[in-house]
Amino acid sequence: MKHVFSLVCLLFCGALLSGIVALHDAPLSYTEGENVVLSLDIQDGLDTIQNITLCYKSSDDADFRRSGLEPQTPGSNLYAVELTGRELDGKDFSYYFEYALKDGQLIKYPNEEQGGQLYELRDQAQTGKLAEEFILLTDDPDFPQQDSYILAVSYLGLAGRIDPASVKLWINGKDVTSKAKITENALVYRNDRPKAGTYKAVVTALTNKGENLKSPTFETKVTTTKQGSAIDLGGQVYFLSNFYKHNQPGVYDPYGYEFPRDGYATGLDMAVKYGRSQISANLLLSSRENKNRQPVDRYHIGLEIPSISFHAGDYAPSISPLVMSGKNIRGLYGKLNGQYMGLELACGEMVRKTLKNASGTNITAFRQEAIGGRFRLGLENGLSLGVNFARNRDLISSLDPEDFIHYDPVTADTLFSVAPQDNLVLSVDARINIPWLRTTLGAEFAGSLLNRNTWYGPISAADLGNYIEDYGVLDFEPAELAEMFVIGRPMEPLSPSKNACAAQAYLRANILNNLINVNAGFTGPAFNALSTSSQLRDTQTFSVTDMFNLGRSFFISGGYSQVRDNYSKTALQTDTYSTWHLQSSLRLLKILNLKAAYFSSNAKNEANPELAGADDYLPYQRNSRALTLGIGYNAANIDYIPYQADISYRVGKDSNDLETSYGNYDNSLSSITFSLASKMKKFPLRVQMALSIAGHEARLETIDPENSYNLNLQIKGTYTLFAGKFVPRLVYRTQRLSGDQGKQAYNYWIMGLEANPWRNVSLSTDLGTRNYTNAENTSLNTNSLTWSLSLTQKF
Amino acid sequence: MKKILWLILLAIGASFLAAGQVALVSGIDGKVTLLRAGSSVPMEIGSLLDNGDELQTSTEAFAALKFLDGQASLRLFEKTYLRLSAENGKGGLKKLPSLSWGSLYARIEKGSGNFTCLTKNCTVTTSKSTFLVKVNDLSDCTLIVLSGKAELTDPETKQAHSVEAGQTALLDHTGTFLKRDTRATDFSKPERDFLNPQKKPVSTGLAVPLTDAQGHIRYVEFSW
Repeated sequence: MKHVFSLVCLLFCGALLSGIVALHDAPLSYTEGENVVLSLDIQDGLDTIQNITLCYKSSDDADFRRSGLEPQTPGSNLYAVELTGRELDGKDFSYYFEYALKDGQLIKYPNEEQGGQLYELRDQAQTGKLAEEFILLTDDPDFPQQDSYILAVSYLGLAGRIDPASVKLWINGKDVTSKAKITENALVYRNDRPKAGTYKAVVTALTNKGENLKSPTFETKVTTTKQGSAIDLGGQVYFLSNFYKHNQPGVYDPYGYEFPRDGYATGLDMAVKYGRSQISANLLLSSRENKNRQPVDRYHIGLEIPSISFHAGDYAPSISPLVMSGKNIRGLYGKLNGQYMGLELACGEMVRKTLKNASGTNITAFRQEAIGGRFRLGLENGLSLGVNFARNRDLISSLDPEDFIHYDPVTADTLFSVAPQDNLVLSVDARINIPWLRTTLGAEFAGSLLNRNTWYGPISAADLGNYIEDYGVLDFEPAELAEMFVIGRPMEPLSPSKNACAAQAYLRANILNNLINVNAGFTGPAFNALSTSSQLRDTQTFSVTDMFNLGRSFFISGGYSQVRDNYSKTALQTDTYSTWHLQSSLRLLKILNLKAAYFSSNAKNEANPELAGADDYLPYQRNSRALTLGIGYNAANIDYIPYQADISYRVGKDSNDLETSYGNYDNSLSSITFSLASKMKKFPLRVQMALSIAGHEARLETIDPENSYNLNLQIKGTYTLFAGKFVPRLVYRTQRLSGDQGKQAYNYWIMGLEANPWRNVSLSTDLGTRNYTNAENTSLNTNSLTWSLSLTQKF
Repeated sequence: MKKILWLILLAIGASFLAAGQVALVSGIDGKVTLLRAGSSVPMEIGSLLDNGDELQTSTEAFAALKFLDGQASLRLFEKTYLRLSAENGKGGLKKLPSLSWGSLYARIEKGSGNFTCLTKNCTVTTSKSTFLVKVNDLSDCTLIVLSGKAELTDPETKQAHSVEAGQTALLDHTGTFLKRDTRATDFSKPERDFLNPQKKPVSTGLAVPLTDAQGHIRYVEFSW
């Protein structure tokens, strides 16, 4: 059943996260030595995404490697990243995608911390047809397998049917063919200095007809008596750089997205494993580091031993989603994780002190210190209760008063360009995990206090009594609590109320092949948690998703989400945004893919009857619908003609269904996307092509219809030299747009090289030109040249 | 001329049938010599054995090997000489080792290909059994079947005798055949040690030497 659960997550997945609907058709396997393209089809929410990163690691990696996804063509909703055969090195990988949103949120999908299961990518060679003719000969007691590991596998029964040159041996996912003695009937592998543990071996071979065969997995337990070094050191040192040259410095905007600046970064990732303990260190130095801005450089050292974690430097703790999560702290983090109780503590600098500069590119900010913690009682795999807290405090002493205070020349009022704040958040949570039902239920309730200006210090007890009727009952002096939190008049709220609360509840279950995820919650308008990414305040949210699979062939997922604001009922109108989607994929004959997706969203508002004058609001009801149909195939054995091809058609409508004074609109969109890849048998040339053509018709009642289109085309060719040590590439990309800003075109030529001249050393470099032409305004035409370089040494 | 051509064709056919590597060395102790094409070659656990390889064990030595079809395991006791031979055909791997002298233990699983052990005076054939076959200096042949059933054939008379588990068959160099129940005295010490491995006695005591005031060594015994 566990496998079924994995399959649901691994093979096909639709993600519904913060308004993003993404489709990822997981390739599951790859052919050793060949590159793998992982792509994401963003069905909705593209405009909220800053960038997408693939995070992936093999069993040998201490930490996740990262690689950015790029739009397949500029503006495309198809993002892709290519992992080279050298990089994959025949290993098995698990991976997830990290979405960096424009509002600063970082979202992982799938998220292991929230019970998600990562995608997996395995070497295709190990996924061939099982052949029982592979016989393990070293299973006799005569083979003690102590202090040495000997594996002998016979394939005598396949003699004449397989090519002995195609026989490969994989041990623990690593290709060790070169270390094995391979004959026409058998292979023998010997490791005289093995580490103690269980070794899993798989033998693969190609039949004369090109069919991939694999042996059963042969497991051997090896013991050692020698006192060898059990320390395992691994990591990488890297250097990345980008340099740009523009032909029109006058047009050049150094901070514009279109005109990135020169930059470089260098770093070190290192991990030392000893038994079940691990020490990791990460260092990143970037040319973009500016002491008057928030840090880009990263320093981190961490220690993980069973039940104890300790991290110093830059770390993003996940104490709780409503209290502290997803934000970097430069300081200390520790976690004691016992069976029946646990304690987490984090403290350090969350915001660096910065000063505004003359050009306005820097802003003034206090140094903000954050401290957070969590105490858990109960079993993590059973019932557990938790208490969480976080406090963020702007240190007034970190800035000179002149930097943030000035006075109105007329009224002499004190004005703050930026005010120091105090924020306190407390929450309680409960979680029930029922393993035999594969179900997890959880809920969290949080309340916050925010003092928007602590400059004035704590309020006096007498003044507080004027504001809070029941203050006499509480009977405390606010100044005595100032060390913990500065109670003052600019507090939000001054007295506790439901508006300063937030709550969420969730259910995750795997029932009859259905992976069900239900979330519900609300956030009050005065709830503030500075140690989390931005909260959608004054809203109620609800979402439900389900993913279902039938064997390895049919997958379907669907979901519904609703976000409704005006939770406090204080606004004239209430906005409701709801979406639902349905996606399915069908694999036929192992090579043919059919996919379909439907997406619908509805946004509307309604009057708040509790407020007078509510009828003054401007009603709207917008609907957006899109249907995507696709067909494709992927047959790795085909040469010359494309071994992979996909075509998808998308049609959609965007309309206002309510009669309004300014007229209705009814827009339609249609696009067709075509991609293919081919390889040549005789010479190692690979060609990939992606083409998308989209048309858009905008119709307003009062204006004649406007048509626009855009065309994206990318052609990429790679040629493998010296057994994959050097892979030069040539890319041509064009994007042509038409619309109310006239005809525009972007043309790109990129020459690149992927090189692995020595073991564990990889180099990637690209030299590209970009040419922009604007038919309406030729003064905006630009040319630019980009050179990027990436150098990595693993150890 | 025709005969020569036929002989050449037959030789070519035989060479195709004869498998390259046929077995794997799965255990070794003491001095064991591997002769390949008349020359001694080094061997160790995990070495692959070719068709036609010859193995010779010295005093207090043994060698264990396993055929590549995984269906037959052999153990050569001390002072034994064996020549490996096998043919890989449609019926599977046909195993035809020749025992010149010494003692050979064989465990044959039911599977592809028959097992036939050739000696100067007898032939032992089986499809599934465990047995011990011994050849002395006079080329007398002794077959002890431990499990299953084997057939002992006199190559001169072509007469076959079925021998079952618990029975011992003797065929001496004069052609005299005898079959009886197996006796304990039929096994040599190395054979008994292998077939009935004794568990090593577990220590349940410890004697700690101490020196008393007079300089005498005394022992304090701990037992559990």
